[in-house]
Amino acid sequence: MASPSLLPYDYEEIVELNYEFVNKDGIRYHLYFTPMDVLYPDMVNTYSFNIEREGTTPHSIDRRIAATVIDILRRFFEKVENAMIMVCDNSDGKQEKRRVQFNRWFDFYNDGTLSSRSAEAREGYYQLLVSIYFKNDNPNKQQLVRSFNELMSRDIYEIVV
Amino acid sequence: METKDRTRQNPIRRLLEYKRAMRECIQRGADYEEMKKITKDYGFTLATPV
Repeated sequence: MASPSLLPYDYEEIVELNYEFVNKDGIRYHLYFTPMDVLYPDMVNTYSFNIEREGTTPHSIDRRIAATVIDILRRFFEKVENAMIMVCDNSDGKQEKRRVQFNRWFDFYNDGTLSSRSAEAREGYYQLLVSIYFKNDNPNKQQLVRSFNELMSRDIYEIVV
Repeated sequence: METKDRTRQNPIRRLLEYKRAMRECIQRGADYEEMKKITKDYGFTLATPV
């Protein structure tokens, strides 16, 4: 049995694919998935994953946050058609930190049944990091990769600020 | 007040701006109704039928 310090927090599904939990420091976290087909109709069952916390006060290292995120991702990928996009930008200078953090969670979760593609756009000081994750047996895999490549080649040029 | 037509924006820019707006909203502890409004303003949905 997992150590209590590695167990996920109890989280609540506020509406479908939108979750909240409160950690040991009393900080409320919000995790939500935004459907991408609004932007890219070819990206069926694809969602942008987001995690945000209330307040800005620093808190101690909390491994149960990772356990909670991993549990939610596990639920998300139980539906084999689901795919997830992670977008990190440098508007607050924390894009690398977020990507490293998320990759750590993802590597811990991934048992070899998931694949990913990543891309990066740079222009001067501006940096945009985008990744897509999907199950190896996702029936829409080829379409997703094609759509992701088109997205990166077609839409990134306008992002530069 | 002028309302920006966000559906005409570059899709990734629209997603980024939405994420930033939600981050700011969540950081200051806004309620769910405000999050729903921001989500709607950007043309997204929070409750997603799968």
